[in-house]
Amino acid sequence: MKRLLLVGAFSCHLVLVIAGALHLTSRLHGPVGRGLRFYDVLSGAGDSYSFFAPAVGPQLRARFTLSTPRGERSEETLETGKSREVGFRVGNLAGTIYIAAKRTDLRRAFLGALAANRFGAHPEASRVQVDIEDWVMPTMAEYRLGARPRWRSLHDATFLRRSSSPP
Amino acid sequence: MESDTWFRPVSARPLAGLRVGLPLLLLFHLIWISDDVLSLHGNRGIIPWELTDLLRDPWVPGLPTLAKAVLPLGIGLHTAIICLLSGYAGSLLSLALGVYTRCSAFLAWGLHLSLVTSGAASFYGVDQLANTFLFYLFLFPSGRALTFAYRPASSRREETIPVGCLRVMQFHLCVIYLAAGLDKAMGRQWWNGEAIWQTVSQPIFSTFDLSWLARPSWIPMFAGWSTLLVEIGYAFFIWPRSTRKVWCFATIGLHLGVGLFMGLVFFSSVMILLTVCSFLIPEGVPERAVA
Repeated sequence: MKRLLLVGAFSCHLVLVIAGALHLTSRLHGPVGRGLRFYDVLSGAGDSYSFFAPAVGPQLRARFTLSTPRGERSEETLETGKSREVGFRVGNLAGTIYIAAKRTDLRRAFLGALAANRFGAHPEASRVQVDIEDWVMPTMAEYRLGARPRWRSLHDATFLRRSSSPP
Repeated sequence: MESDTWFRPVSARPLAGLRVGLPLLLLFHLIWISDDVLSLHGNRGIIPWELTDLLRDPWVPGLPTLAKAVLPLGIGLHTAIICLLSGYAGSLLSLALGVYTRCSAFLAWGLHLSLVTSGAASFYGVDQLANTFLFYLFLFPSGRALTFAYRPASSRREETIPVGCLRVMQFHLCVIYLAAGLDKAMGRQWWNGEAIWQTVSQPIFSTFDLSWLARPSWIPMFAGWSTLLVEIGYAFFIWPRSTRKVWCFATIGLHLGVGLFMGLVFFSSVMILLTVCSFLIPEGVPERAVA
């Protein structure tokens, strides 16, 4: 009996693995769907594996233009000076913020969080412009004809430090 | 028949190899990102907890939930995070050593899951794969070989596990590769080489200047086709003994390429480990274990 239950559990788990890979469990709603998704998150059974598929998306980054009251300006990106592995993660973070920023109610909060982070790192800055940019890479054919990659701004917002804050 | 398919004893070494390798890789990774781990996960990180809470599954406790749970003990948030991260590192080390394996695996899996949950904004595929296989290490008897824990000589025969444990992991790995390959095959970019070109040209992945690849475009096209062949073929050619080693080495080659040309060293190491442990370490039972 115990063995039969174990075989049943293994089989159900593998069915969920296949359903997850086919992006099926995310379509289920109601308590059953919620229960399955909870199990999926715990076990990883419901994960999908669309790494770089069906197409490779552009790299996203957050770029900051910092200004001081004396008119000095500097630029930096979120991943500046980080290790490569941290760079990947911070790059993903920029992607998540871009997705969140499509919702107008979340845009200000997420971009503001980035600005607050930079204000914290640069106490001398009084103004931060946040740009979420994507890397526009020409196709191989376009590249052969002379087109070159560039960063393109997708969202931008400017934040000012309140005068009551420490300099 | 059913008993043979799922419960026939096989060597515990493939699962034990994973138990040693995966936590060590996760530990090295944690050390690698340690300078920035609080920026990614801390209460004063790049994205504050109030916002990361909006992105995570409300049913799964993230790092903030666990950290706030210990506040009544008089421990500050910052200290709580440091303690949780230290606990995570400790559980990974003790899992790799095979000390209190089931308990260590549960802690490592639970804390990894909470890190992934609260770090949802910055995580990528390798984190979810690590979660899946830590779950298996907790669920299956992964402490029956390659442990530092004391075991009397008479328990040597326990160096076996039911074959079902290994098959579930092997099957899952096949689904991963098949799904990844088929999803890629649905896009034109993987057939005409643009996917390879676009990937190696992104500043974040670029390890060498490969802009010259635009001229002999057959090279990225060949690389794209090879990727599809290895990934889709994995589920079919990894099982027969005659093709198993070839496919394992082709897969390892693919991931070495990903590590070298895209800089995804941690991801590649985990994927190579999964294939080596699942399919290259012999599952035959050592004679002394059945004696």
